[in-house]
Amino acid sequence: MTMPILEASHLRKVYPLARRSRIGSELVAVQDLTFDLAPGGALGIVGESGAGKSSVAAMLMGFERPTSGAIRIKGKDRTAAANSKERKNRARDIQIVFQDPNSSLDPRQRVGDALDEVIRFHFPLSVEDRRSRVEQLLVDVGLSATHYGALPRALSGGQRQRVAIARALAAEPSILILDESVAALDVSIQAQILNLLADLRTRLGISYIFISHDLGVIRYSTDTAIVMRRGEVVEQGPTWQILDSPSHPYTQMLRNSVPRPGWKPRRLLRSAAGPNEGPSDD
Amino acid sequence: MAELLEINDLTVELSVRGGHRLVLDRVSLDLAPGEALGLVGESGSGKSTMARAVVRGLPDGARVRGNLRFKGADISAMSPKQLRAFRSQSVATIGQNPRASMNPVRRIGDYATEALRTNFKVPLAEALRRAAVVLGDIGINAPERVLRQYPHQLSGGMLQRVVIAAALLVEPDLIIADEPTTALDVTTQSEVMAILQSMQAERGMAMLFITHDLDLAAAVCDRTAVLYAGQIIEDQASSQLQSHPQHPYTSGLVSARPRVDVGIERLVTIPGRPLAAYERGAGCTFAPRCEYATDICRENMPPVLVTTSGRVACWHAEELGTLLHNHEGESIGS
Repeated sequence: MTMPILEASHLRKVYPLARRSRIGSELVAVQDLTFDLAPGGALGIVGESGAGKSSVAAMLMGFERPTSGAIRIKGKDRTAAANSKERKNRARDIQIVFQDPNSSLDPRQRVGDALDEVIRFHFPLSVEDRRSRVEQLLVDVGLSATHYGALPRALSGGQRQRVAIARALAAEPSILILDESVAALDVSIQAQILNLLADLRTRLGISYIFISHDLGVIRYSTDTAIVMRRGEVVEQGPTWQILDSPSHPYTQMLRNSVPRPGWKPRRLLRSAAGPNEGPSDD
Repeated sequence: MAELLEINDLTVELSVRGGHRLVLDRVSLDLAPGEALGLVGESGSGKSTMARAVVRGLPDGARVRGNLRFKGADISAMSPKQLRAFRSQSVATIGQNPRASMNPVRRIGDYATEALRTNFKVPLAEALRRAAVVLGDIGINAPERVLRQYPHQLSGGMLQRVVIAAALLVEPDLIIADEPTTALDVTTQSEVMAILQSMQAERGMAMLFITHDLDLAAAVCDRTAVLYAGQIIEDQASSQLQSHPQHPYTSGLVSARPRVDVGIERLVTIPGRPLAAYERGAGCTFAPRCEYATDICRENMPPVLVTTSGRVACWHAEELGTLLHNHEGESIGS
């Protein structure tokens, strides 16, 4: 068996709350999460708002330090939040693409410069070599070399997300986290990006972690999946199995809530039928 | 049957930096009393502009042509007094972000009863009593307590329920819901849509349901119209639309969506990006992205073909008929 590229064991993240908070003294964002990611594999982390998905991403990226548990990437311990020196190495291991390219791209920076900046930081290449690498990246994500000088505002939403993906790939990471990266795109564009990501995975052998609330996206793009709810893992296993025969009632409810042909919206019997208030879900 | 809302050849141009941009192009749509109509489109298709045009809520400088009638009365000819009555008593609008439509320092009860108090002169105590009843009807526990709470104390799903309750309280003839569940989690969406649909059906209100989600529209609406670049390219009974789309764009939308219940090897995509009305050329708006497009499509606007189940604007609709059938969709009835 090949060694996993990423191993997370018993990850736990607890945030202290303000002293007078109604819901207690601390918030357990992630309870106890353990998983392996195979080289070239794709893992889905599914859940609704407040599930802890983004806290998982923050820990894997080294933005946050787990309260307890360990993260190993390519066999090296990556549990601690990255310091400035270590961040450079971490960037070669793992990169992230967020939901909104408008807030992750600099509106005044040309597309080519945004990519060149990353390449220059990581690789000792000549100006010409960097230029051709940028052009190659643009082509890889379905843009063309002519987009080199474009500013983000001259691009459509789908094209901007392609730029964000290209920039993440510029560091040649082993793992790419896609944190709701296609959630804001139109259906027709979303399909193009999902196919692009599938092609890149085959071609580059890169591993993916898809963080998404969208079970259709998870089904299409991942091999294994973890279903989370309020910090807890409720189900974990091969994606098709979880979605075709969910064993946990929450996964069943989640799956039954997804609109599809023949589907009708239904009132759900909430297990927590008591208070109306809860964490804001918007 | 007399229509509740008639939209005839509605063309809207919005003012953009000195010029005008075409957003809706000769849209015609009828809505019968009690009918739920879905309006599906991607970004820039003009779906929200439709919603605003119906209540004459377009921004300053908008140019509107065509005819909008509500119960036979010309909406564009309404006096300010008539328009106020139309907006406050005949139509209720539900938007995407409930938090944005509430004053954060006023109680839920103030919001929920505002229309009753100001437009129908119902005394506060009576209005609160009625609001509590409707909140209870849509499954909110301890409604009296909720009415005393503030928006920040409730989740987005709860707030959207409050917005629906407030809309129901005025017993409008028409509900315009513009992406009402887009900001909500999927389980909450199911819940909120079930409430909206059952209330709409029980109370015999018509609904114009605007969304980007074709499956969601089809699930709650009798009929669904597809808007592309400011034009309605197809309009059919919802079940037909999913299983037998007649326009290549509709068929593309159906197959581009990854399914939760079926493993798909590779998604069929529509090339290019959605265009806005002002960007299109002489021919069919969809021609640049359409795999079936021929010269006639690129040069001439397709006629609207009335079919047994609806209408479609495509030069090749008749030949394509059976080709576009979504067999996968047919087999899933459970």
